[in-house]
Amino acid sequence: MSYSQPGSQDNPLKTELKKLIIETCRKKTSVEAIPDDAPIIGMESCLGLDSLDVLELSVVLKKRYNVKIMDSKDAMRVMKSINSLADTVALLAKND
Amino acid sequence: MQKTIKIKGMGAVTSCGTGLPVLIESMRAGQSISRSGASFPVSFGSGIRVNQFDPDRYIRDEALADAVISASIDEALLEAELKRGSSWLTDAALIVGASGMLYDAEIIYRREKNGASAPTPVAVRGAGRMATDIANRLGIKGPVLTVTTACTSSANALMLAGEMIRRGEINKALVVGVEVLSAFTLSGFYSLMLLNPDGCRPFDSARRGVQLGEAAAALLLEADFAIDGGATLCGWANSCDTANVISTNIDGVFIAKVMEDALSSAGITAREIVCVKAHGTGSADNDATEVRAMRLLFGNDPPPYTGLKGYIGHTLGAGGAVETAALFKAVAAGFIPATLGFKDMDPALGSAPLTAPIEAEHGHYMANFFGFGGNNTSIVFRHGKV
Amino acid sequence: MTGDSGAIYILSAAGIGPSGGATREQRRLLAGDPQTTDLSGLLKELTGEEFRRIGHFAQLAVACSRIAALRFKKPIAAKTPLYLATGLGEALNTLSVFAQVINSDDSVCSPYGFVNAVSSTTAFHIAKAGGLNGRSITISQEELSFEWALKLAASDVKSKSAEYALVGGADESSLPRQEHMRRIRLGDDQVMGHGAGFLVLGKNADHAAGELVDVQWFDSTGEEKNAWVLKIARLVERLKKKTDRVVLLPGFRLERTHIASLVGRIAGIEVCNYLPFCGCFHTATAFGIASVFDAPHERDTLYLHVNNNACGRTMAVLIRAFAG
Repeated sequence: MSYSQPGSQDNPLKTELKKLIIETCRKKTSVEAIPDDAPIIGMESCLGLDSLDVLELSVVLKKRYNVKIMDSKDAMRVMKSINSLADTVALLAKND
Repeated sequence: MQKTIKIKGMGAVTSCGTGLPVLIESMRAGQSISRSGASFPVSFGSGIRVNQFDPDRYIRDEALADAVISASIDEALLEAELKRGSSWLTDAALIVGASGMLYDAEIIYRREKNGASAPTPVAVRGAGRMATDIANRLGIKGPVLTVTTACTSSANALMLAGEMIRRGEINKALVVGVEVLSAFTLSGFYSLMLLNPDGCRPFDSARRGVQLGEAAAALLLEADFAIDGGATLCGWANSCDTANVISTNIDGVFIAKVMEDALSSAGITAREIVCVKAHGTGSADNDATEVRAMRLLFGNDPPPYTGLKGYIGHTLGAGGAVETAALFKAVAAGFIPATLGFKDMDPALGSAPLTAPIEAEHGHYMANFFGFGGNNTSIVFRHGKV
Repeated sequence: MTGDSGAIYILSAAGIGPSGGATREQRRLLAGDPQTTDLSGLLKELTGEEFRRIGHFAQLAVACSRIAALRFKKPIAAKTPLYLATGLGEALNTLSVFAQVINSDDSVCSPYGFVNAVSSTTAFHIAKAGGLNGRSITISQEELSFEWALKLAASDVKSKSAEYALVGGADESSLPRQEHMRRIRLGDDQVMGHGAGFLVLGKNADHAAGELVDVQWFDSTGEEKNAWVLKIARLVERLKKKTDRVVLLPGFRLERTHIASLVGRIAGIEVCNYLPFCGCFHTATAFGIASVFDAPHERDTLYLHVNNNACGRTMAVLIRAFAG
């Protein structure tokens, strides 16, 4: 169990994750255009990611942070927003 | 008199063994042989279950696909009372369904990796080349073509063979489906989080993903004017759902339409279907979609349905040919197999497949195959006189 | 397809060569092996969408299918069948995923890469870009992939199960060169190629650029060696109209002696070699046939495309490009 601050309060981490998503998913957008708390999955969301993007990001998160997500439904939950993703990365990356 | 497309002979090699009789016994008993993934050099191998060919009988070398295909063809020829070199084969078309042929490239690569010469990075022998080799070996002089549409490959091979016979372009066809697993395929499914470590649980409340399998199957089709029982190919449909590249639209509308189109191709109504051989991969969303589609098509009085992947795994490109052969051999033996791997009904689905074998009636059967790339195929067969 | 009034018309066509161009002005004679070009700009222009996840092979196929469909000025019904031919499919992408799987410790590959390597994926993208949801079949039969796809598509139109059919072929080259050439059984002295070609077929003659006259296969093994040359010559004699100019398009596997015998047996036939513009690849036939329609024809022209595979099978495609 980690007692440090949750990832959603870690601005450098969130910026890093946004960059990672833009690069991995080859999105034509900027870090500034992605809000922290808005959905990133779905046609109507700010990034318009789908289930395949979520799977690709899961592989990249494992390589970069050693965050292991084994279930696609968990992956969708984790990547609900930048905040939820940052929380998970902060928690799981340290505990491994 | 109306032309029928008779299935004259069938043969298969699966994880249950060589030949359809051993698979039929497995299905009658409701048991399967499922090996671990140990013989594949993948890091997660020990944690997954894979339906593999008998390693004592089939060596994993470049000749593996040829060995299992040959065994399947010989069994089909035997049933049809034909021999290799017979004029039946000379005139026939060969239509192969295969999703990819990377296992041999891997074998060669691993063998040569530490050697002096640089290894071959990828297959020197694709599915098309394999088809040409089979045709040359059997002396087939008719059309030779290979369908590569992932999980629906050999279902589509059956469809195209049926269509070419119905249009009078050919009179006979040998349809072959083959899938030999490789680390490439296993890793792909693993990376897509589609593998269930607990194995295949079609339509079950605890279903979590697929269990991959390897298989080869051969079917001999022939135009016939007599209706004398046995299995005939009656209708088919294929379509492409462009909603999502890795899954079909969850509402089931699209695949219900494919099934409906297959019914109209066969000239029958939904009420005439005795039983549905579902695709039933055991993945959460796909099984739910399939149940929704069947409900849309059949309404409140659906025919029984069953899934066969609990016995042989999801055999991808071989699935169309091997599951068709498995179903109709069982039906010819008098029974429709139960859905191995199903235990508890999912309240969200509110529907259960066959949990025990039932007597196989004469009538029309539907077999469904859905795959990546939104590729969906539904085929209608007839068993015996109607 | 012969001896029947049910003609099959070629309503539009597009061929993309190694340079990425799809017009006569953009065609370039290859000086050597072609470079892989990024077609994402062209795709964006054609579809208004970002294809951020697809590989070069799919880019070729999707772009070419869109150009062919857009050149046909009318909308194509959503249920129109799609037949895609390819010898090697996602050659570059498959190599990359293969390397990931075989060389990594955790056996994990890129989901994008794996999905792209799946054999039904490119047809999915073509269907999606074209608003199609009908039949989608990918055929992979080495050198004769496009010929079979064309025959199947034509049968759908002829049997009236479809008003239109979209049919095309595409392949890309990969490195190392030596391995690629070995995969497609080519010698070191031959030019490696890639490209795509698509046709919209239909049964209505309005605005048709030409017609598909016949697709035939011949056994060229064993005793029947070279008997196919005679059969093809007879076929052309039978199907040729008096006013037709007749042109042979030799496929990349056709030997010089075969070309000479065909020319010797078919009176007045001219030879047009399209291969210097695209190089050698399994579905070069698709490019060769589609690019016939790059320029207007002064006279009705009967094109005979002939190719062999390396195992004793031959296929002939006969198309007529209309004058005007």
